[in-house]
Amino acid sequence: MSKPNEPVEPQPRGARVRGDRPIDQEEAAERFLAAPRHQKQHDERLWSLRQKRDSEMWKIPEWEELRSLASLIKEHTLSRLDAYLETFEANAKANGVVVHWAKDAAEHNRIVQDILESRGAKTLIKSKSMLTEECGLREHLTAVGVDVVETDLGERIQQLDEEDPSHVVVPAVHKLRTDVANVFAAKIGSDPDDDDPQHLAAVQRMATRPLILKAAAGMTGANFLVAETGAVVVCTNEGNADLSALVPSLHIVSAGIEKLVPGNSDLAVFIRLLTRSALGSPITQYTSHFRGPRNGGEMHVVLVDNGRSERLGMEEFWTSLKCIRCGACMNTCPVYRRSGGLSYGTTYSGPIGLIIDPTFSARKYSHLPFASTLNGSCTNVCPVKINIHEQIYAWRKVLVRNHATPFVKSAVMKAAGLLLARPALYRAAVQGANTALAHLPRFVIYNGLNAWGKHREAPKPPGETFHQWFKKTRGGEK
Amino acid sequence: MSSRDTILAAVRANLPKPRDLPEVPRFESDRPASLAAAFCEALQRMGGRVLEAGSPSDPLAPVRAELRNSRLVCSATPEIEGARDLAKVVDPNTLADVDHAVVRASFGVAETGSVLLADQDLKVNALAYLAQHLIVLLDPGAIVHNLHAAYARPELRERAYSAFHSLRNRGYRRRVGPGRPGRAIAVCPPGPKDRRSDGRSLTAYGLKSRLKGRVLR
Repeated sequence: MSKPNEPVEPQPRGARVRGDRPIDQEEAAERFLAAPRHQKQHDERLWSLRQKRDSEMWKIPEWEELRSLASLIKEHTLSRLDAYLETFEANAKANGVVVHWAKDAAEHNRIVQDILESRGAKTLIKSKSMLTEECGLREHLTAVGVDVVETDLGERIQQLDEEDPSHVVVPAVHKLRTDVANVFAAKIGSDPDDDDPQHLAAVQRMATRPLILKAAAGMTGANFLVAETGAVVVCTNEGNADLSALVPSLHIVSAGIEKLVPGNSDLAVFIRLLTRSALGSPITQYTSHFRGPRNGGEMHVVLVDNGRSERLGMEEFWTSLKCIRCGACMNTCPVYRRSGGLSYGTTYSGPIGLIIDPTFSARKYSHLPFASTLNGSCTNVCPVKINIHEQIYAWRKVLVRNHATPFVKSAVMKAAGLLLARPALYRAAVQGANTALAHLPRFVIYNGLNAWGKHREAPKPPGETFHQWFKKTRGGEK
Repeated sequence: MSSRDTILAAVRANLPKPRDLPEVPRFESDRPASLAAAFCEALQRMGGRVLEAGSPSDPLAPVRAELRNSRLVCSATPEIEGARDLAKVVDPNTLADVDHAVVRASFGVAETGSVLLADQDLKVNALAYLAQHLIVLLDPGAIVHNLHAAYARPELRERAYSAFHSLRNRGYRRRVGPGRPGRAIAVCPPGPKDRRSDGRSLTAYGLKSRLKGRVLR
């Protein structure tokens, strides 16, 4: 229960999305920072996931070996992706699964619509899937008259609030309990003053369960596709994916072509890493393997490219396809934790989003690779060893080269580049800047050109530079 | 060209240089002396609860005690009798009123305190998710060390459906989704048909459901 005299802090909303115009992450992040209770809760919740991940990691002596294996297995699989896709297709077909191929989001949505229409299915229950978010499936199906119900608690909260998921694993993590109570009160008529999480979960359970029982079709994503067995592997904590797949007679799976792993011995590595990295638990409550339709049912798998094959050919960026969507890079990222996933204005937010999103639109997501401190923490926690921070930096270079960065940023970077390339000039400039910083009035230092100084004080300039000290003391000898 | 061929051609045109598939070790160096004890410990760490064992003459007594006040029991195991015949179920949603489901797991995993429930164990796959409470029987001899050993088992290659059921850290138990039944995992000897002669006693472990009393139809 919230305290009665606590002022209500409205939930900050995400980035303003206007067609293909560049997303202004900084503007949305500022609004998130201006909501201190939301910001604090978000930061603390995600940091606690990072800490739980660390404590699970320390319990596994072979942790680093598992990360190396995971990285090598994914790189191998991607280097022979055509063969593994064909093996998966053959095995899934042999198990009675219908396999479809979609070049892009539009074809994916059309395939799903066709399957539903040909069976007269007007109601679809769904478990969480980042790919269907990427494809805009819910909006597409709703427009053609299919009633789509998200069954994951966090995803359902976001659907009812008409907001996108803000995190790949915990979609409503940016909301306070009171925000959720308000959404449920408005959309399913529960008590707006009861924000006890257990009560809220029960409210959603009671409202969703009847919809599950009478749905005509169910849909899940896929965490992994196993070539050797033709299995679709789904990892969840609420049992909603299994209900979606097993209660209706029609089960449709949406899966990106990069989800392949060769065999079960490889899958073991990823199952050991995934939930420990994501939430700091040894395993999800349910790790389900769907190899064929249930008794009396049918099962379809839609394999989706949507830019993935093109990314495979990008020398600097193809390893981003190793991602298993654990969200560990988001939980550890200081920018993400303080700005909220919705500030990125896209399906994939946080560090991994910064390197995936520009492959969808180099214009729309041109500012995102700058929403990083390049501290490398994302790379250090990544269970499949993607060099995320290096790719963020590489994207900056690409975007600057293509003039996709704002003028102020490129002008400042160009000046910095000139300066950093000339040691004597650099030393003179640093000396001058230190003197200037100590004496300049605030408005000169803290203005629109200095994003760094917007929410924090610039450090006190030292009395002398390292070079001055070294010259004077010969490295401490004097 | 079909979308399939277009995608495969695009993938082929963009393949990175070939890389070898590493051999995945079984990581057996920290194998515990007692897999059953390690399984129970992992289960308890995730919020499971240890029940007292039944007498050797009636090892399933604690399970029956759990079921005494059940509104509707549905059993997929021959050891426990249920009120529904799972062989006759056509629509899984007719099981939505089941209070307790009893199933026998294919095997357990000590590393994570998980049990594998396959289609042959469940008879109707959705039973494990529709019932309000799930009681899982597990042969203490059918527990493997870690997930590497688990994924070497034939069920994961052969069954059309199988799922690891596990518990999560206590702090998360308040987040309850639409299909999450209360669960009790009972570690007990095999059924009458394949009972071994060593007469292992029953040790039962369970999780008290927070949703007890809320039957949703």
